[in-house]
Amino acid sequence: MTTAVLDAPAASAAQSVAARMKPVSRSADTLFRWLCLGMAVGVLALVVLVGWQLWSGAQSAIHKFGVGFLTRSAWDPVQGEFGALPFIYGTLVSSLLGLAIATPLAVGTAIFLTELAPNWLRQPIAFLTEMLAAIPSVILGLWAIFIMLPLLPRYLFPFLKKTLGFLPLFQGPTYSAYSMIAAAIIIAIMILPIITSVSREILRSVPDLQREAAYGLGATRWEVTRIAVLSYAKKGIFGAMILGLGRALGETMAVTMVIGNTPKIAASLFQPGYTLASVIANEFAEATTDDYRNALIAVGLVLFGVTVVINLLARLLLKFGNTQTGAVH
Amino acid sequence: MSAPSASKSYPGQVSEGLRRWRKGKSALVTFLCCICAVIVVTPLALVFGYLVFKGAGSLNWDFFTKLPAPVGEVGGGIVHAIVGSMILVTLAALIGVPVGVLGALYLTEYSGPRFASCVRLGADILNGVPSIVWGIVAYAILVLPHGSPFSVGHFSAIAGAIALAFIMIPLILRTTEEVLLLVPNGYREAALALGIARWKISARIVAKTALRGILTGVLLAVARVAGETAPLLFTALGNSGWSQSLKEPIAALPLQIFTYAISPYDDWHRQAWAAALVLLLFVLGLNVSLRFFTRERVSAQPKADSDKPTAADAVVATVATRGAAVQVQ
Amino acid sequence: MNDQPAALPETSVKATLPASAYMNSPDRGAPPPAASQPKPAIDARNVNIFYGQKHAVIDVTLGIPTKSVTAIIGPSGCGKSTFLRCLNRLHELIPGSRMNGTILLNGDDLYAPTVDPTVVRRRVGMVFQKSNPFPTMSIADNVTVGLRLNGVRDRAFLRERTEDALRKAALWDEVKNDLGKPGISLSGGQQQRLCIARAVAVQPEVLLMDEPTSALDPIATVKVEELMNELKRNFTIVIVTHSMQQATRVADQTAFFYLGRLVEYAPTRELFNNPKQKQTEAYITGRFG
Repeated sequence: MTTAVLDAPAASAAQSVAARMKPVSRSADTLFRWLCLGMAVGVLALVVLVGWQLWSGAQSAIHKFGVGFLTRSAWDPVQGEFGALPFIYGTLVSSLLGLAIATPLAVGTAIFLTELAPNWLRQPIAFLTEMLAAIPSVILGLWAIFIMLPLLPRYLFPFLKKTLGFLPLFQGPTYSAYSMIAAAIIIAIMILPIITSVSREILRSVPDLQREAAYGLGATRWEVTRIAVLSYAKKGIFGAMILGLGRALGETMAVTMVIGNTPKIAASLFQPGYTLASVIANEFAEATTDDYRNALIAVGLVLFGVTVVINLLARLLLKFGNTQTGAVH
Repeated sequence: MSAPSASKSYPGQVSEGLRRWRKGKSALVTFLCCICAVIVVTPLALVFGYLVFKGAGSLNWDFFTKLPAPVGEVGGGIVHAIVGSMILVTLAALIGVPVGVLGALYLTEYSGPRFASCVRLGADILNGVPSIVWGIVAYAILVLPHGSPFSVGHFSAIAGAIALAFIMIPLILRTTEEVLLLVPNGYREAALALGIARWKISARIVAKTALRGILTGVLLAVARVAGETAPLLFTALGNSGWSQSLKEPIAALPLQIFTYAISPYDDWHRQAWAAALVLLLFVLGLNVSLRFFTRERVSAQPKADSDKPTAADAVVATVATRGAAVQVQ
Repeated sequence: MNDQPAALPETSVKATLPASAYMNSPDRGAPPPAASQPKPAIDARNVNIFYGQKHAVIDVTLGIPTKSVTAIIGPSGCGKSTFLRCLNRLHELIPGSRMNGTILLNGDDLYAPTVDPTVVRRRVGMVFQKSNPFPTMSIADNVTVGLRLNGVRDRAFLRERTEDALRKAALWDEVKNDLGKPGISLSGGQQQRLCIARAVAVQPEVLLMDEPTSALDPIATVKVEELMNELKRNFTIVIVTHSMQQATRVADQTAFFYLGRLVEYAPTRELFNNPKQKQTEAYITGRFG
């Protein structure tokens, strides 16, 4: 065979090559294509599935309680009273407070990583922030219960009372460490990585030309950052915040473990609260009556709706924030 | 620079004082940003440090090989939870990987731009859905009696695995798509010009070229769902012993940590720390080793453009921010 | 079209065309290509290619003689690459592309409705501007990938084809001891020859080359050009090049494209020494492009 091929003119080699190849078959191609298409459509179907399952599950609760479900503050499953307001309040307050704590830290870190830090330090720190994102929520919750919580009434609460005590937010008894503030701190830790890394991407996408122009005017490092970089990246950083907010609203385990799980609306941040996600986590498995379960599914629907809207908003901000500033004159 | 300014003044000259103030401000901001970065990485160090400090002492042979001791008794292990987590994650990957990878192949190899961006949007929405919501969906389909034709009728390992798979699918789809897009079109054209069928090009050339990145994405997704607790709370439920079949409730490491952490028993707290250390070592270990493994391979490749983002970078960024960083570029 | 993907040039002589079929369109006034090459391997008639609204190739009629090198030259954007790619239906990958006209490969209509583009591409191989050996495969695997992924399993046969193709690509002596090394470990020029070996291994009837040396250094370029002279004993070669010198060095006949039209097509020496068209003259004397 060897000699035959080597000696023979190309024509016979071509003949043997062609004869050995399998004939072209369209069916395998079509099959694979449809298989892949099915999977891609499956992802879209999953979106529909989530929405539909929550919607249909929440139907009876919506019928029974109407809009009042969102505005009533009584949550008493034994009496059959279901009002989601305390959870909405708790979710909003803890998330916004967490966001308020996390944003300056995250943006500061992002600026440090892209503009100020020496080169050798950038990768390691960025890596560590990404690793922070990898810590499972339940582990952070465990750490918070046993390490962080005992410290709060001893150091943080008295300090806050002393400095900010004139605000109703920081008044009232401070005996329990399970509180809105504890939840906010945990949420802040959990959303730091995402705000940092998205802000960092945004800052990195600012063209170097901008920086060079500012340096050329004799600006200092910080002035370059403020004038050339931050003003350019404002919208994007706002998008990063909104993305962080979306994540904060859905945080479940660690928050459930430290927020105290009390369906009451209290003015003081030292008081325990409850969030949409944590009421589902705590009570769903024990929801024995249909009403109870449907009310919890309705809570899930609210959570789902809010996070979807927030995420879409963040997506828009990140997309258009960037293209608009990109086209700056 | 300062010497001539002292001798002669010229238009536009800034005073020495102003210059110093500006420099000082720049140094102050640099310092503050540095502090931010330190604060951001501190929780990681604190959590890891305490886990080792409080958990390492409890890691022994019994811990990895025995079932829990009866309530109130000291000792026992969590072998059932480790095995349970493995089963859940493996099952989830068996469902999630094909859907995610094949769906991504459809987007990059077959789909038009409109359908692709539609699916991408869907996946991004799904990536933003709080994990607890996936628990509700899996519950409604598989746990709730008569909830759907597939319903098991009670808490089960299958329901837990499906909930985790729901989380994996959009994550894997996005990371896989990212790395497939990094495969240069030249390879596809070269393969087409050889008369190779498209599905073989997709599977044997494009996917194989991106294999390292795809695997990285899959393993990072595994690391993430391995730490998920919320979607398992009312699907897998947990189990204090072995489960006999996939249709029964099953234990999982994160669930065990949660149960032990909120229990009143000291010995359970001790075991919670140890279990958390095991879980964190697994999750962080996977993250860190994937990072270093991919880095090394990239630098070993000849003529690799170090400025360009590598497949690994793209994947890590995508997973770390659950798909959000992608729009920034 | 028969089921066998690679019909042989020799056996498909039955479809010999009248001489006029592969001549240039008479209104262009170009003479037929070298009379010593009587058999047209590719016969393109009235080919038009559109990308959306853009009319990229306009009414091109061109006969490409078998076992020779045909160069297509012209300024960038003149449609030369597009025309080349429609010879193995690779332009179809671009969304919104349309083609009308006829292209016969040794008598078979490449665009007949029943023809699978995959079959076309088995018969018409291609080498690209940027060398692109598959990064996950060894040198040997790169050479045989077209065979293996088309269902050839016989190891001994694959080894034969590896050696034969690498010899034809003048690469065998350089890599025979490193067949297991990754294809991308080779130098740029070697990588391009590996790509040629890969294309040659499936024994196509025609080999298309899209600026195959534009990314190579001069020494590697010379090697590839020498190689083309060897390869044309077995294959019909069509090369798109932006370098007129290269065309004069390697091509038996040259086609000049301008603004999507075929301006002039003639034996290379004639086209460069004695162009019939004003535009051709302007281009080869460097007045535009």
